[in-house]
Amino acid sequence: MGLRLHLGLVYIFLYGPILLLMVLSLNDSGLPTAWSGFSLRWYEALAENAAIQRAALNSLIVAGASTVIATALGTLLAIGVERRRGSAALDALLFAPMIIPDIVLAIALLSFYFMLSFSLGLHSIILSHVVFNIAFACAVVRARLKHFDWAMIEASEDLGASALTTFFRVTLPAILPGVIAAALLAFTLSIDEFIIAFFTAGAGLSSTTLPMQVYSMIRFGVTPEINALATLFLLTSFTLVLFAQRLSGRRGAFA
Amino acid sequence: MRLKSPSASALLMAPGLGWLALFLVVPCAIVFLLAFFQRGIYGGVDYVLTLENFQRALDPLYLSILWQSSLLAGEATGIALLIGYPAAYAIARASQRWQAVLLVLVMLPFWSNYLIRTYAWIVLLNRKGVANEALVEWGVIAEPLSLLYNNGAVITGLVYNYLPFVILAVYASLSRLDRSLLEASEDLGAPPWRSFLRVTLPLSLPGVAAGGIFVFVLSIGNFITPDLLGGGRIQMVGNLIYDQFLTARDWPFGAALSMLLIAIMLLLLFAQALAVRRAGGQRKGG
Amino acid sequence: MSAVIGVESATRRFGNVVAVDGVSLELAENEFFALLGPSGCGKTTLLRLIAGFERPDSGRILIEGRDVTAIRPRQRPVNLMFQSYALFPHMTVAGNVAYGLEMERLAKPEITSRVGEVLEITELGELAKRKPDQLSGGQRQRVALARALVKRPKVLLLDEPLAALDRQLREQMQLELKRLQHEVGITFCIVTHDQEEALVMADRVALMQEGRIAQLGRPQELYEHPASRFVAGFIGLMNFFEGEAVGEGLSHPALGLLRGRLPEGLAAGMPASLAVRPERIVVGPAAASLDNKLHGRLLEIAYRGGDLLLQMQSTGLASPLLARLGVANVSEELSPGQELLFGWRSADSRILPETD
Repeated sequence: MGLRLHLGLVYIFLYGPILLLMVLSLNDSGLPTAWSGFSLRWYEALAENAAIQRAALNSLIVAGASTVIATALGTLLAIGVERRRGSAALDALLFAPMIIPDIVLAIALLSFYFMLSFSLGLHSIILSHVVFNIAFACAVVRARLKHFDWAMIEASEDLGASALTTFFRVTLPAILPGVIAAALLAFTLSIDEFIIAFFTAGAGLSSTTLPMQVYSMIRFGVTPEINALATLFLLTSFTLVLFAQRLSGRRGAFA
Repeated sequence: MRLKSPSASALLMAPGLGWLALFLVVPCAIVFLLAFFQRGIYGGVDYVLTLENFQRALDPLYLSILWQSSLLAGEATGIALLIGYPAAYAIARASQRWQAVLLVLVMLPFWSNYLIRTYAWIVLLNRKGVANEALVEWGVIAEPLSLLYNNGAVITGLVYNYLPFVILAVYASLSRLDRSLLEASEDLGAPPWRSFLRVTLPLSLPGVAAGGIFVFVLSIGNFITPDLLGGGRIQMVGNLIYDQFLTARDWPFGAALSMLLIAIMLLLLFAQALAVRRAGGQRKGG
Repeated sequence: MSAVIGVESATRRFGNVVAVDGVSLELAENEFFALLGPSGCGKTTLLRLIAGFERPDSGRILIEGRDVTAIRPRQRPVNLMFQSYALFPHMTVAGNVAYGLEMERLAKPEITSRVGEVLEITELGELAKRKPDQLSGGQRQRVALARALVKRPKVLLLDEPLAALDRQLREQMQLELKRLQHEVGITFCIVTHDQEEALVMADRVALMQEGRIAQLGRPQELYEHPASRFVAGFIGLMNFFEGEAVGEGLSHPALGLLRGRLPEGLAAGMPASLAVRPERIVVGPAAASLDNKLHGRLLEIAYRGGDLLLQMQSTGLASPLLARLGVANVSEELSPGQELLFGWRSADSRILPETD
């Protein structure tokens, strides 16, 4: 059918450019003009690039920290929200970080830090990333909670467990896949995020994240190392998202 | 599900909400306030109340940039919807098992790095890029075309980046459509194309509107795509704001522009909510 | 009897399951027909075969003698009223009803007048401009009816039309639908799992079991003269005694001989059931003169407004016996624990083969 053909073309459109990058990254000559053989030299070049190594480490730190904080807070938030009758205002607040254009969020945070004369560095990026990650983590866990049998909590308390015990022995295990999915998603988003990091990192190489590094590399022009880096980025994202997808059940908050 | 202590809920939500309040609400409020102040001589902020930022924003120069951005964003949105609707329709008609897979595949690129996705198009479109090389190779053209750094490139980039989102939004609408409505339509004598026009399309419009509005707003406020694919020649509101904060160091003006952006977004969302209410909802069965 | 719908040996399979198994039947003009049966018996599939939403793997569907097996639903002169009503949420009541006529490309004035007419019959005139989500369940059901009726189909097919209504409304609508069918004069064919509903509304009933028709006939026939154990148990309340067929009736392991007439095909020695309706059970001294009687103890009395349902136990009975007495007919006091005589005339019972 014509529709299926169209769908197929759409997939080619979506995946073509990125597959191209992946293929080019393995091209020995690094140029799109000529294929001169399969080679991993660009990946080796990456590994030896000190600036990239530092940026990668920074990104991991930022992503790790913001993920832990955001997942914890977002999970608690999700449980709190789902326990009570929904309110449109609350939903709007939780939805806001996801739809506000990231540049506005970036300048808002920058202004905020400026007003407080807050020093900028990796820590300010972490604080900023938590903002949108809380919203996403909360959304994912909430989707999981829709299938949660709240009577279990009452049953647990009826059987003598304290609120804390109930949380760790009943609630958390039940929503754990959702929580892990939320964490994976938050990690991915943080690793990929550019604009907010760019604005809130401040000056100095010590707080450059990987996307920021990539951006400055791109401004200088297309190079094969970027292709290799891009491929690594893509593979990481895909893996993490696929995992998150499996964990959040049939139709998580984002598929 | 109404559990005994509302205070327990409040306790659970407190840290998360607190963070959002501190790092989202307050900063946004600051931006709002900032728009009413003046730029200091050395690029700082003079706490003198003024409306001149907003006046400047509505200046013909900036209005025309806003207008151009809107046109570009509009074109990108339109193309994304045209491509995305049939794709979403095709997915909605697939079997249950396939639908899940197809959706994940559509969304995967969306969750990957925005920079990288945009960069891929540079590789494709630049003078020494794949497209030009291929065309020269096959003798279609003699000289490489200048495919990059123009409106078309920016629109392509925007469509590429937001297409998955449009497909998802339209799909969400289509998948909620009650199959028995289409059977009823057929039973009453409508051929497939009429069933589509009179039942499917109207009922899927909320999804189309939602997807369209988001893409439009995200496109207008976009910075990376016009920056990388437009080469500094194409200005979207996002670039403008970026410039004010980093180059021109006129934060109050940048804040005013941001407020303008948010205002447009809220306006569109409000219009959409009104339209949805007017259309009478999508309850199953009925 | 001229058949408006004919189904000839229709079979429809889904994977390994045979939903409709070589079913043949005819629907007459201007009759109220019911497809009855437990869930999974194939009645809905059969309805959808007639409507055209399913194609039989073998067999034919005929409408007024014409073979429509290969014809799409929208080209068949029958219309389906869906169980969920399937009203178009974005159109008004009038819009919903007019839709089918618009598909026939009739002129505007004619559409308007026919819609008005049908809204009158279904008492929806006042609600013409409302949208479905502003209507009650009963009102929505009437819109679904109106939408199908306005097209003047040869047969109106209704898929569990009353299932979504509450009890009170349901009983009201049962009579309403009957009245409507008489007024409009076309054949109605409903699918229902509620045997009481089928008995009240239908001129003829087809009781289905596992893809086949267990019995077809007027409600009275199915009730008074069930053809099999299944039919006897499905329709109304029934008391069963299980044992072995003998010349004079049924030999019950504990109660001995229960008199009755053996049907054709049931020979002595075969396992059999004796079935007798609760309202045919006589309770008290009057039972002494009957050819089948037992002593038992009254377990429970259920007062149901118009009648009493008594539950009685007797040694040797596998499960309690049910007897129904009209309140007006009860002359003495009855209380649980009482020892009573009860019985029935052999002519009021039927002996059926144990397996169908």
